[in-house]
Amino acid sequence: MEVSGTTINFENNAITVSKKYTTENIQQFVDAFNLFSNSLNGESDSTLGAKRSASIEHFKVTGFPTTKHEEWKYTNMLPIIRNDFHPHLTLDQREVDEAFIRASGYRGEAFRLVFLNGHFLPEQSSLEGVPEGVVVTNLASAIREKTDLVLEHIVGYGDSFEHSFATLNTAHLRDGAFLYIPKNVKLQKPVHILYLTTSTDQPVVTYPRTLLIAEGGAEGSVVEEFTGKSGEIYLTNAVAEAIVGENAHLSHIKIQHESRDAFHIGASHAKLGRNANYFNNTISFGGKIVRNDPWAVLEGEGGHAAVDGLYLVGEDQLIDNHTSIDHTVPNCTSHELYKGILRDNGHGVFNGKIFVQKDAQKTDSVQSNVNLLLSDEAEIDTKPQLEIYADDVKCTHGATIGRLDDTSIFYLRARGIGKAQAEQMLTYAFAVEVIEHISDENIREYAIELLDARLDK
Amino acid sequence: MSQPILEISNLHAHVEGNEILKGINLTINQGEVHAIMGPNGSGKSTLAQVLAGHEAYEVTEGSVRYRGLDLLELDPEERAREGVFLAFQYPVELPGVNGMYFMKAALNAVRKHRGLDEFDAADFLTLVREKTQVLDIPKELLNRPVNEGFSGGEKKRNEIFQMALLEPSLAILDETDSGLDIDALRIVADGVNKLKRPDNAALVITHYQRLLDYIVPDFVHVLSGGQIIKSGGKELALELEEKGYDWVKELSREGTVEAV
Amino acid sequence: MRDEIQREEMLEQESVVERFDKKVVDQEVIDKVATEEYKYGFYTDLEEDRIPPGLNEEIIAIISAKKNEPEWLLEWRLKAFRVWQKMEEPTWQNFEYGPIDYQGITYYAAPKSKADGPKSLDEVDPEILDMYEKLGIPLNERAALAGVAVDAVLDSVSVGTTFKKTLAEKGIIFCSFSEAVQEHPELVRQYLGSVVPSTDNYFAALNSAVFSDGSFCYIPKGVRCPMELSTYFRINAANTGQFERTLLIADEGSYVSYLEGCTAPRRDENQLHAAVVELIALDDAEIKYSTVQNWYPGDKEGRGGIYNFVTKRGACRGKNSKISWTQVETGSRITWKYPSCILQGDNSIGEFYSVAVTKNYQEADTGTKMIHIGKNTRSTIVSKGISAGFGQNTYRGQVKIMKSAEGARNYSQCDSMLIGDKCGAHTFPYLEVKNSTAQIEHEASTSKIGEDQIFYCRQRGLSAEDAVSMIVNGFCKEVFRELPMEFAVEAQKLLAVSLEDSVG
Repeated sequence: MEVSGTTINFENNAITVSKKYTTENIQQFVDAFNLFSNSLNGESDSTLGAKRSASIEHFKVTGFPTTKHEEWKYTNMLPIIRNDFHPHLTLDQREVDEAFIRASGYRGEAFRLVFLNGHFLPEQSSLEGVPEGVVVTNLASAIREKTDLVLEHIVGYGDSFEHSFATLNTAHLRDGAFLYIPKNVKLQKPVHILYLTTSTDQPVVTYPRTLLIAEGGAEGSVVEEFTGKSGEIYLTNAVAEAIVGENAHLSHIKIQHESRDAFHIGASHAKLGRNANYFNNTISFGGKIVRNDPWAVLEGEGGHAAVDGLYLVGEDQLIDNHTSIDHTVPNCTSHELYKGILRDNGHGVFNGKIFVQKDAQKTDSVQSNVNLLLSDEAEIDTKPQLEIYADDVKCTHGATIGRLDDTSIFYLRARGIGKAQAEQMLTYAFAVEVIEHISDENIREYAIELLDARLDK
Repeated sequence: MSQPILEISNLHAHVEGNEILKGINLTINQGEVHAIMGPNGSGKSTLAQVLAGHEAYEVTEGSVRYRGLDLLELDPEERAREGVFLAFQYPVELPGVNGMYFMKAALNAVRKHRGLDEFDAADFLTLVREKTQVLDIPKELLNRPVNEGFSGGEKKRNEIFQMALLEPSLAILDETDSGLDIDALRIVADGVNKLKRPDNAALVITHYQRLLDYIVPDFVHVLSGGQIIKSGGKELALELEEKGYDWVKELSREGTVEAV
Repeated sequence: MRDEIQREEMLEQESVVERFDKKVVDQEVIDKVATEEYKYGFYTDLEEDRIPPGLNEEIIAIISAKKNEPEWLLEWRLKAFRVWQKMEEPTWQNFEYGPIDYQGITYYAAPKSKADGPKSLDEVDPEILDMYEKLGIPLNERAALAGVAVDAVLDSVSVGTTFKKTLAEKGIIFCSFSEAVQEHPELVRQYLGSVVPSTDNYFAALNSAVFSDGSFCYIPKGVRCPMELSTYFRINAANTGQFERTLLIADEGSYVSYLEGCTAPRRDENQLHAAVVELIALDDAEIKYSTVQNWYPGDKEGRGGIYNFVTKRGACRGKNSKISWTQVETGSRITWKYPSCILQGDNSIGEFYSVAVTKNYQEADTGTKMIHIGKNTRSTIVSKGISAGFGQNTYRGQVKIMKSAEGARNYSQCDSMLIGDKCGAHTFPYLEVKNSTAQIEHEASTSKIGEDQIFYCRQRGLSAEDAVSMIVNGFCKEVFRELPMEFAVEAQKLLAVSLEDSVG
């Protein structure tokens, strides 16, 4: 669905031969893969093994995208891939810092799966009271116990090699989170998936994988949270897949507050069936270079996808959101709101694609990207785009970039509120709109806490 | 004895598979004003759209004769050229399309159809001036794009102005009173009354009786469940106002019982 | 007192009548649209001076020699050519087109005439004059459109320029590019390639190497050009490419409105048109540049038609300068074109108004770049895309606010209308902002032509075709308003013809 391998520099296609990919430093990733592969002990013969090898073979050829690649135009991956990352193949129990784990992440009521450096921590997780038929577990167990179900859906999106990092994640596919909600079951509590990373003596790379399946008429809410020890350098390269069945409702929230020296790349793919309802909300606070690719494909009539996001970009940070909503069938609706706050020398990137395929008549789609530029050193590059191949549709998008409204600030000051506080109030009000779309009250409160903490700095 | 303009018999119509009109019978003669009243969802607007030829509505049974023609055979623009005018409940906006130009094009299409000479700009303006004076329509409104950015009241007045220009034989006013304050209502009604002639007729569709204080009908019909369940003189409107639409629903149920 | 009120009323009535009559006249022209698909598709049999097809340094030297060019210009061409050879032909996201055989193209074709071209309009070949008459562009000054000076470019050369004397009295230079090279080499040398460098992009480099003619215009300080200047481009010869160059300089405090029109014969093979237009506006100068592009679009099956790959760019070099691009793109098989503004001077203004229509198998990828460098620079983008048949219409635009562009403002609006279910509409805006005082607003919408709008018009007695034409013209009104009157009428006519068989 995405057109890759092209540059759009339109008129400045000058002398340089366009290089959309680089194989620089891929050897360390290939070596690491070999180590990982050996550690699988024969697991590699399975169907999954084939997917892993196909992925690494593809990766060997393409390597990583460069800024000549249209989809990576503003986000240079070289500072990431030039690090000497090591996969974390086995977890020594001594590395499990319980105090750190308990102090990290959302603690509200939820079924909880906790991972450290990609390894599942059953003792830290809480899965009591999971209703009959519902499966909440780590992916490695699901692969063993629900093999057919996992294999039916995993790596189930269109061009699985399109995104180099997602391809690399598939090559390392081993563990992560798994949720299965059977037909017509409504999960009352949210599922909280906490991915923690700490780099001990050397920078770690993890490849967490999440698979969410909501069968026909099922309802559930998931929050994936990514965080780590502040000041540490590591790379989280995550992929999530969601399958939302007929009439199912799935809320999929991602809260990312990694170490400010860490790197985070996360792709998520959702497939929506007939009358399905999918809500994705990607909230980015942490990381040094961050890239999110939330994609949703509407495959059944009557589906609705809401894809929202908030990014707060501060000193030395780059946060890049590349969203895609693909309408492949008629009578679906989608709604997208991405808001960004750019401070210090932060660099924000937004690229939102809405595709309306040939048969997708009566599509109704609204996309909006709103940016608040709070510093002269900050930069925002935004590209909301529509690609429409059906005629009976209603699609709009809008993007704005601006400062806080002077009249509003003045109004608050005229009521006796100090300038700094006035600015903070308005910034908070700007950001909170996105968080308010989260329906679970506890998770909403938690996101607001994180926002407050982040705005205070 | 005046000539019938419109004869509707046993008209059934569907929209998206749902039957909305379930056998309408109605005859309107020259010089008459008929009012159709009914609760929401009774099929009032559907009847107006079917008469104007909207393609979303499928006529499954029945016939409509209009001045000797089979109305249902005609395209929407042919009906308009033959003198059927619908004042829309929700007049659509035509961004960028100049109102004066639009009306000149429409008027000339109608005139051409009737074998009359087309109006040039000067003739047309003279006519516009005459009609604006009669109807008290602000001139600024006419030079703006059709209905774009108009208030609800302005849109309705614009509809009546267009009606005045096109001089239809049969004017259908679809809830022209909805969303109007009392002053706007008076202006609109005034306009309609001024256009009344012995050789034309009007079908006024409304939910409320108050419009009928200003446009006094010769006949009032109550539409419910896709059928006319009661007809009478103008006093029926008052009775309806007093007793409310629950009364109609009762009548409707009785009607159903009778039919069985 | 009463008299006064009456007078006021009369005046007001008058003005309403006047305004209204003008509008009615505009629209009446559309009603009289001819029924042919593409009425400029004829070919005029002229004796040609053409060089063999192919592209190498020798060919470039021949072109340069034919134009009697100074050494520096030949060097400039060769430099561009050498770079071009190393460049990659661009690939675009939304289209594919057959490979262009650059060695199969004839780079110079000119109607044969007296050795050094016509000295005045009286010397122009009567057959050429006839051809332009037929296109509706009389070159005879007596018959010419009052208030419009025309430079007519046929294949590779300029065949005549009208009203030169009238303009010269004001100090305005308006002539063919070749003539400017001979008569005003210092101006050409100073400004040529200063906005679009010879190696800017693949097609600009090609043009820089092989351009044969074009228009040149210089408006001196403080002069308001008294008439519209216009270039009329015509491709007549077969198997040729057209590579013209336009260079327009508005000196301090001057104003000019410039129009450009183009047509070509109907042919089964594709022909390449790769032009370069450079505009320079100095302090307080204003340039209004309007294009009605009607190159042959190819037939219903998508055979033939012009590849229109054009680089147009304007530099608002001076403070308070303004460049405004207006384009109506109805022709060409493929159009790639991004008339842009570099807003360098403080308080300078860039504008882009565009209507692009694609039907049958036409593809248009067009938009603009607004590069804000100076303080308080402002830009406005209004783009209207209409797709019908199998047409693909893309808006691609960039708004870039540099760090230095304190207080920059941009407003963009890109609307697409789809007629039929096999066409496509795409919007790719790039907004890049590096200054927090900037205010950027982009809005885009895509919608089907409204069934309820068509029904409303039909209920008032209009046919479906007239309803569509009226609604589409209304949709484009904001852009047409920017065109000079004669061109607006022409553009509306074109649009109606273009969409004639698109309405199902």
